[in-house]
Amino acid sequence: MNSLIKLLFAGVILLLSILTGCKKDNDPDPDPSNTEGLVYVGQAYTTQGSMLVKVYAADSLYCAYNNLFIEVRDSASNEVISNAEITLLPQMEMMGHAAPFENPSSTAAVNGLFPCAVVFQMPGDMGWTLDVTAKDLATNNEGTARIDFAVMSPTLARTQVVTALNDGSKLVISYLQPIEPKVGMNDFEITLHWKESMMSFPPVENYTVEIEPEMPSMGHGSPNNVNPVHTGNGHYKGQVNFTMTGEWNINLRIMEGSEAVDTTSYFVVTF
Amino acid sequence: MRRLAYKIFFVLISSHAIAQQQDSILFFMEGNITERIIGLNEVLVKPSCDCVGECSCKPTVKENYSLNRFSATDALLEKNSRISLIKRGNFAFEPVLNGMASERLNLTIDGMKIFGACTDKMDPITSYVEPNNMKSIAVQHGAAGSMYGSGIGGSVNMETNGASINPAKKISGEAGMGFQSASMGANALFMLNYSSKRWALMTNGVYRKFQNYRAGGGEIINYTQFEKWNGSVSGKYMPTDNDVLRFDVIIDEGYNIGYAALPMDVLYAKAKIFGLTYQHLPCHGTVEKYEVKFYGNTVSHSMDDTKRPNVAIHMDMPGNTRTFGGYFDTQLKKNKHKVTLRLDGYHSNARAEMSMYPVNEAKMFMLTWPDVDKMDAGIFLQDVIEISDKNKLSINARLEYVITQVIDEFGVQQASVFNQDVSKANQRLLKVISASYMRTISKTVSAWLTAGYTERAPSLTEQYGFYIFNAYDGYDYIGNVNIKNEKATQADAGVQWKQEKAEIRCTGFYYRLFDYILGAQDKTMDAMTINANGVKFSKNIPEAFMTGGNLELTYSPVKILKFSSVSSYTHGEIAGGSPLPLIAPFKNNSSIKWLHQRGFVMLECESAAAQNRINPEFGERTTVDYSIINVRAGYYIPFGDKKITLNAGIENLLDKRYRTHLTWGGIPQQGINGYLNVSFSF
Repeated sequence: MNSLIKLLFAGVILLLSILTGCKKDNDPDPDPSNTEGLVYVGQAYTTQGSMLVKVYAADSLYCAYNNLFIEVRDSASNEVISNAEITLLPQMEMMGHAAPFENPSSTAAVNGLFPCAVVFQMPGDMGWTLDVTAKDLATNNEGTARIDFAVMSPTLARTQVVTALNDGSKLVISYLQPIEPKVGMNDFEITLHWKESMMSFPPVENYTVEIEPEMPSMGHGSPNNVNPVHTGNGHYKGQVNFTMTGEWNINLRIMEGSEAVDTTSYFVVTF
Repeated sequence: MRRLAYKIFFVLISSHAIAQQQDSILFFMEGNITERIIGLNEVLVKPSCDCVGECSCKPTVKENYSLNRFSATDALLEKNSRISLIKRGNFAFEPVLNGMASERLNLTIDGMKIFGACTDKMDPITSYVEPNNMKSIAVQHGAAGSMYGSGIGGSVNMETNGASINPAKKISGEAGMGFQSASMGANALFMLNYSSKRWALMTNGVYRKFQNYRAGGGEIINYTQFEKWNGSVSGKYMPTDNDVLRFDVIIDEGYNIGYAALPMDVLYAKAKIFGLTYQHLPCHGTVEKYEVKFYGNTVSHSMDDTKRPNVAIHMDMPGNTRTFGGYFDTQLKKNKHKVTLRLDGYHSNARAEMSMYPVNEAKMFMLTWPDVDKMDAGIFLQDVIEISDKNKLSINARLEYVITQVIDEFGVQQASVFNQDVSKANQRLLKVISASYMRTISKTVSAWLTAGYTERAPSLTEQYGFYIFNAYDGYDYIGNVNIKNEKATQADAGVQWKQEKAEIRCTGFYYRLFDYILGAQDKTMDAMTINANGVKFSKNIPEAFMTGGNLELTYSPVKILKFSSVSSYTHGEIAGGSPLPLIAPFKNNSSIKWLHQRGFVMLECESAAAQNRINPEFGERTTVDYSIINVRAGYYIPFGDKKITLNAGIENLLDKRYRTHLTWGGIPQQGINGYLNVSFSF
């Protein structure tokens, strides 16, 4: 039975990689040492400063919280720049809005790559762009590159935009974990961002979140779940328990102090 | 009187040569196993009984049960007045001995450990062996039954016939058919034994197909149907007069078995049982006998809800157990001591899955038994001391070591849901000791007393069960890996007055149980099963008591008339006063039997008092009292050394609608039921 599940899982992954692989341009200059296992998103030269910015992602880009990895090279020497200040601006220019994102937490590249994240709150075959502004700390060279790409809709919704019950603001809720759910205890993680303006989605750091897993067809839940708590930068981490495989809803209850912000959102997990 | 009874039985039962054989084909030849045991077993196979205290070589109930050639094993078990049956349908009843069900008992077939594969106890192993392949049912109480394993309530060992070496009769056998009306049940059986001088081969089979039965008053009880067959092959070879090599293969398959009291039925229940035995029987010297046995068996079981209306979610629940093991037995006799030593061990694996198939959603999957390996080794020592002609003492002791281990990582993960770590092996040491003293007080009166201490390991469900739904109380049960062993101190006593025409026997038992394992609700937990009342975890209750007794009377004023009456009572209580669930009320079975040279007629009355001592926490409900009347008759027609035997009877003659207290789901028992059996033996 176990091996069957594994086999199925492998099949699904294979299928996904075929489906998504077809859509992507191939990396013109693959460097397998540090980008192995990552999906190439695109590249562009900076408008100034002679730098080449390459964007990789942990997975294909979905309407979800996406882990990105940015590589910056000196376009003349093709040397990897590993000390730089990177700032992002993801946006859908046509629609005039940006998206929640997380700039690299450090100016030092990890293995030649700057890890960062973007939450795409809607899918789109075209229209999404990512402006990457890089400032080489060694040379003080600075420039911005724009990369465009498609954002797909995941099978199960992983980012939701809801209207807060208390103040009517928009809240972006994104599901991060568990990515590979299993029966038993799983790490659970979401991010919360709120829409300050069309172009600004800062993290929400002072909410409380309660979770309640439920099997919709059975109506039962599971015991010993740990409600997520804020760990920084809009991330809320807890633990979720699954008593069996199948389809689970993880129901959320988001509060700001004693005021309910959202009581109806849930994420579906199937395994 | 006894001898006379035997004579009557010999005449009644068979025209075969007797006595020269140690095990005789005669066992096959007639009707009710209970009577076969009384009539023949005692004389031919066990000429002297070594039992100290209540005899376990034969059932306590005697000739007062009629010949019904097609009785199920359950019906025979119930003839022991200390055994009651938990009924969930019309098949595979779960035996309860001294108020304790299968997790507190050792149930064995020929000393072989076999474990049912159903998480809901729908397949006690008594359902995998048929009476026409059974020689005896040995029932031992409490610690005294520790030869077969550590248990609290005692042990029930069902001994099969095996092939019979009988050079005087090369080919012998039987074929029979039976019909019963309440469930339009059809039965068929056959047996064939071929014997040479030094070896013999036997094969037998049973087929049963029953429809839904009709309860008293006329209601048809849906989901009480079943179909099964059982076949066995057995061989015996005696290279010398003192050596016996024996093999046994038993295959039992049941299909489409209805369980009216449960939300699901059974698609199939299958067992394959293999045994290989070597016995050495020295004629003289200190060593009286030794025996080596190896065995293996598999049981598979799958539930089915496709025939039920309004099923919220279709599910299946296949379960499997695999067991192999062996034992070495020796009996030594020196002066006044008769010492039995047994070394035994087995390895068993149990795994049960549950898959649910909601519409338009992913399949759900979990392990209700998370693939558990169990290794068990034990040593048993018994010394029967013949202090004098009138005083006998028996001392039993057993030490058993049990290791259980979850081998599927999925199961380990599952248990983490309840913060239980089952990744490591769980080890337990079990100790059992008991002493029995029997004294012949006068020519007619004897008395015995047994005192013992015994322990048992938790059952698989109690230790590792994962959301196992109990339809009786409507709770999902979850095991507790670290639950403590259950312990008991126990006493069993009896007195017997026996005279030519009459016999009175009175026995009583008392168990004080410590760390009694029972389900306790955790109100913080959500039930898994739709509409279940909640979740119960296995828990040790500090103390519980179980007590009871029975009274048996037999009176035979004239040779051809016999009156018999058996009463029993059990009382169970959790320390503090609340009743233990599922305790049978006061029961009485009385009969009058008229014996003729070639047959008999019998009138039987089964009664039970109301049971109002109930525990509602376990969904228990009260039961009203009842009495039912049965009439039975038997007759045989000889043709030389062959014969035709006829059995007929009407059970529940007055078509009373009634329910035994241990029946789940409030289902009434069978109403008026006529049966007719014909068998030809040669």
